[in-house]
Amino acid sequence: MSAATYTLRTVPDGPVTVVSATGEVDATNATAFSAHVTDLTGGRPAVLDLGDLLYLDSFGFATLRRLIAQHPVAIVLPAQHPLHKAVTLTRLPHHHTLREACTAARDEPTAD
Amino acid sequence: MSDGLGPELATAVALGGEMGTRFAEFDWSAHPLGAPSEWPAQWRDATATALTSRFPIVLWLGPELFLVYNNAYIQVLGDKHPAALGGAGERVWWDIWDPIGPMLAGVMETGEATWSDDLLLTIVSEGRPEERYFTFTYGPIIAGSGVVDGVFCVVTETTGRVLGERRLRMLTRMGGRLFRTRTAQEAVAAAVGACDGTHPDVPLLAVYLDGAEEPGVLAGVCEPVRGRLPERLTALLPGPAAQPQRPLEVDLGPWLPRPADGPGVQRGLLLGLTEAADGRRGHLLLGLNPRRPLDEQYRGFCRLLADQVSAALANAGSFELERRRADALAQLDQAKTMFLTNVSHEFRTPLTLLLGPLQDAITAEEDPKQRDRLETAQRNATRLLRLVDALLQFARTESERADPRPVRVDLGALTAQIASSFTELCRRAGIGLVLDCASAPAEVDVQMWETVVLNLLSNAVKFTFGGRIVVKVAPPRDGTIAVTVSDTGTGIAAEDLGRLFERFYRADNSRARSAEGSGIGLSLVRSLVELHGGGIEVDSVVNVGTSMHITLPAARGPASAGERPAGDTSPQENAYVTEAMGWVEDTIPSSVTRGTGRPLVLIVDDNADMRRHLAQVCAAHWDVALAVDGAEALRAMRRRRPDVVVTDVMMPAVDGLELVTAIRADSALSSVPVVMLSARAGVEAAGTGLGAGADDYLPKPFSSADLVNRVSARLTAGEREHERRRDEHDRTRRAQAMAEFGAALGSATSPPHLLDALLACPAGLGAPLAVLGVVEADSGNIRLTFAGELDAEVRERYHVVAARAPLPIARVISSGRPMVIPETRDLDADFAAVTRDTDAVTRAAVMYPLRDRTDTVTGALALSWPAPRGFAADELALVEQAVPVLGRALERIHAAERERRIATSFQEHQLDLDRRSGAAVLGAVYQPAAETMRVGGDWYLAAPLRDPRQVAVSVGDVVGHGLPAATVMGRLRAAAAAATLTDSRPAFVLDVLRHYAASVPGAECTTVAYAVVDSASHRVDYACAGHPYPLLVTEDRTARYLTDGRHLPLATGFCARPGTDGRDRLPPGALLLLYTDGLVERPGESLEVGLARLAAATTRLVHQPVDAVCARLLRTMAPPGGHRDDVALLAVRPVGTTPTSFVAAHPARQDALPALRARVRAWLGALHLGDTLTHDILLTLCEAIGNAVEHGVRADPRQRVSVEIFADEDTISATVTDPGRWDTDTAASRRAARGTGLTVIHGLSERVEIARSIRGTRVTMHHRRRPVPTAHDPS
Repeated sequence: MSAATYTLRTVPDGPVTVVSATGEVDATNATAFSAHVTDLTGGRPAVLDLGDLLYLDSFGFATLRRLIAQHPVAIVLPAQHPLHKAVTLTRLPHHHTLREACTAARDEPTAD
Repeated sequence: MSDGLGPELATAVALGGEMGTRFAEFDWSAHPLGAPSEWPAQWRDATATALTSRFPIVLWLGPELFLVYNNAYIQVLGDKHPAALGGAGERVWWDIWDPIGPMLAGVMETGEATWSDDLLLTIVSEGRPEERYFTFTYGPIIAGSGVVDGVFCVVTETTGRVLGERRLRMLTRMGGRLFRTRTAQEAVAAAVGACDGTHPDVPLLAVYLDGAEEPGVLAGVCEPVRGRLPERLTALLPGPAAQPQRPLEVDLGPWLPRPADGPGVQRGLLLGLTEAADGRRGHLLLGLNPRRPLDEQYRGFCRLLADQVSAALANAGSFELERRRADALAQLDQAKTMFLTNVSHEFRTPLTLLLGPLQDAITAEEDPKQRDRLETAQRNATRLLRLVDALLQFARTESERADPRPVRVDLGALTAQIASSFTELCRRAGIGLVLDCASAPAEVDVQMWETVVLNLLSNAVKFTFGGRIVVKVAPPRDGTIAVTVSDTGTGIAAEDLGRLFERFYRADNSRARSAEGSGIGLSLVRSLVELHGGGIEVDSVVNVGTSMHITLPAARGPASAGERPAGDTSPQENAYVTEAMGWVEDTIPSSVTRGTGRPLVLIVDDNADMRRHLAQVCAAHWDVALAVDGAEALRAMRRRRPDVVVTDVMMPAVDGLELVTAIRADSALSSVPVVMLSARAGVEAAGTGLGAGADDYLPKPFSSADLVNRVSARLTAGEREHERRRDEHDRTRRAQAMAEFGAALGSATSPPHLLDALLACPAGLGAPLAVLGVVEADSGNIRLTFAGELDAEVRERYHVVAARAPLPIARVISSGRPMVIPETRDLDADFAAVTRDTDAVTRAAVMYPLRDRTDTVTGALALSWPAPRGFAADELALVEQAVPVLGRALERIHAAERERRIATSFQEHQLDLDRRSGAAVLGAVYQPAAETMRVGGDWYLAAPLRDPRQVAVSVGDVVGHGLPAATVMGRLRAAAAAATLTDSRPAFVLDVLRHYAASVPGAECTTVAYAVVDSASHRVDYACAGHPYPLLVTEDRTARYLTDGRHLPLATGFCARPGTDGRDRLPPGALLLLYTDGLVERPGESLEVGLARLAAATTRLVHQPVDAVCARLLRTMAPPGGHRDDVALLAVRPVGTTPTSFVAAHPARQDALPALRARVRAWLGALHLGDTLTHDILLTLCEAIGNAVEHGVRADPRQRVSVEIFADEDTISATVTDPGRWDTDTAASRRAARGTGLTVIHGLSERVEIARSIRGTRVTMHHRRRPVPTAHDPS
């Protein structure tokens, strides 16, 4: 048995780093995923693009909620994405377009 | 004649009775309609129908509407029959042609039928109009040409019903009015009041009663004919005869002029009234409806009315008794006068002795505060002296020992001088005082005249709040002097004017500066004026003013200079003014609110001195507010609720008793204790005060300490006393509610039933949601049961909570104290999580601890409302009373449950289903026979084998019931489990069992079914030792019994011959069922029938999770009245996938999830459900598995969670079954993010079913298959 797997890809986009995630995030790897994202963004304004993510469970929601509360990270997830219903249901703050998310991330105070 | 009828009419007339004969004998040849044989067919048909009908029918034929009618219609016609036959409508029914003519014309013209319900038609019969009611329809008679040439009318007379109804209404009205009348006078007034001239059958009503001297005097008459009927009954009677004993019809014509527009009431019925309590008799005169004959019904109605009046009179108080009481009162009055005379003398001496030293002390006192107190004392001592003097004087005049010493004076000058002492007072009171006193010589007793003038003036000031008071002495005219004291005050009501001068009479309800007064002032004035040969009259208009007119004889000759001028200011005069000064002065503001947080005492007294005194006494201990009368007190109380009210009884406007009544009637104030003060001493007075609702009664005089003690006592006892009274008030209601509740609880068999019963009864306070928290003996956790409106997600989240969980209900249980929560958002932050979770359903709640016999808290009950609300004390009391009742019922249920659990625990322990195998998902159920000891010889067994793709299963049946069989069963089952470890092949295992059974007493004839399921090779190997065949149902819904591998039952004593194994295919998605014969056998039925029934029932369950299969089969296979024998049932479904099913036994580890998810995703992919639905199913499934892993596997990681997913045409149903009861804190799991899992499960599934039993928890999530939307491609 093994943990779920994901990959992260960063695309610097001006002052905001865009991190795209693929794969699955669940109870087995949510903590690692969150730490990984923080490493990549280094406390700078960033956008976490979940548009290519295949699976995210309630542990993932909880972890992401903590992540965006503590770091200037904005989540982007298109409204028609399969995950969108669950994300809305669990009230995870997110944006529908990359542009909105970038603006939001830029406007957030940088974490110390 | 009948030959001119034709055959069908000939038959009809033969059947038509009188009208048939008349119709046949009528000379139609001379009639415009001609011979019936020549009539159009539709007329002939209608005539035949009418004549043979027993219902009143009339035909209107031709343009003239000639009448043809049947026997039943004769009654409608009255004396118009028989002339009406063949008559033209308008001539026959001339009297009602106005209403019916247009209706008939309408039918003739348009053909549209009419319908009239209870239509009033005034028909003239025997020369008199008669009010009758009919329900009828006019329908067209249509000629072949389509033209309407007649009207067909079916009619029914409803006069009897209509009259009956309206007379009954009158009787009800009369009864209602007479009810509660206490005197003959009231009864008469009520009776005549019931007649307002609108009821046609009682157009007038009068009552004549025998007077003391004269018989038959008019005692009451209804308004419409007031003043018109004779005063004496004899005037109504036809002759000089004695009063009639029987109802007598009398002519009222002479008294009631006939109105121009109708007959008018001309006749009446005189009915005797039976003797009243005082022996008097009387008569009731009822006017008679001119449009109704005085028939039996009408007479009966009148008799009933008279009986009602008689009854009321009989109940009325006895006049004789009243008279005797009056005599007694007169004697008492005389005694009182004597007493007053004596007592007043006794008073004068000490008062005088009091006033002297007081005056000295005031003069000597330097401290203004002290002087103020002394002056208060002096003012009131003076007032007392005045009252005593007035009483004395009054007593003298009453006993006619008054001895005026008249001297000749200038009455004008004397009056002006006396009145001028009121100048300052009036100025302060804001009233003008006008003295208009002409010179008028008179002979008066100066002191007596002073009393007269001062009394009148003091009265005037008392009732005047603005404007002016005029004192006028007119010059002598015709030997008399007119003295008038008039004011612009509140005036005196007309009904009080006549009694104004009576002793002790005090007009109530008038607005006044003070309610003080003895009620003797005006009586005394009149006596004194009369002693001087004068007279006094009053005229008054409410809210305009009052004038007192005194006439005195003038002295002859002019007033001389030597005539005594008015004397110097007497102390008596001072006393009047001083007292009145107290009404207008108010040096203390009407409300003293210090806001010190001390209890607030509201003092209500109209006397400024008393108010000041009470305030001074109370202010040392409490905050004080003041009010001058009841009305102001109520206003003050509504602004700020005092803790105690101290009130005087006699006050203007709203007095003390009314104040108490008003306080008790106001739900916000009703609990405020009231202490009443009054000068009216005596038990009776106290009784009145307490009766009105006062809490204590303090008669004047009282000491300051006394007052403080009483108020203190009220402050402490107030709440307690109020509770008691309220308890009494609510006791009946609560007792009834409790009785209902108790009955409902008696039939409840489970905690949810209990809660349902509570919500349905008044003790539930209309709450939509009830929660029961029960402390679980083993874990100490609190298990919550819900009833009412609550969504499943919250139910699941708060299914089991830790004893120390931050929930109000847990707090109630741990503290043992109830919680009343009017608004959950106001709870402390500790409860933030639950408050947020339940915000939509719970905004207010009450929670009470439940205790057992030893007073240990065993749980708590909560009632919850979705909106904030307050709770009245009586509501809480009701719940408080319900809680122990509920607690007892809960104890009973728990005891029953415990008993059942103890009985089955042995079996359960024995039959613990091992779910460690990954080869199949397993469901099992055991049900002991209904009438035995709840333990028995049936078993089921699952044994994981060394090969993880295999599992051994077995079901066995030891002969007999109860503990002996159970013991044998336990041993054999253990042996079977052990045997599988050596060699799992069926023949081998059964062989081992056979050998073992031979050594176990009681194991004879035990039957066993045994099978090894191999999920890899899709095979089942099996054998049965005398046992019913296993049942195999494949996903295509075909069922077959596995009939190979037959062995003899165990320990039969026969020489054992090795048996063989059976083998069959067990494809993925199939279901294997092992069971004992109790499931299929029914008395009087062959086993084959039972087996067929089982096969049929199981094929319907191929896409049900194994756990549900067991539960459903147990239910559907049960004969009426339940299973007679023990039943054990084991359902096995091998793991694996088919296009429509996915079955897995998932290890209880989180890290196994990704792999499972990949498999499920692949399986779902083949179903083409679309990304979103696929994801939703995956997510909900994994969340459910996650919960099961966390809560459901009893901390044994080797146990597995069953996953069964079925794809049907419309739905995908995913079931996760675990062997646990989720005993750990489900609410606390929100901290571990699993709480979000519940939100996801409920939010993304179409429907969620949760079944929880002793065997485990089963969650089924249904997803509806939708048309696949345009797929979103995440790449």
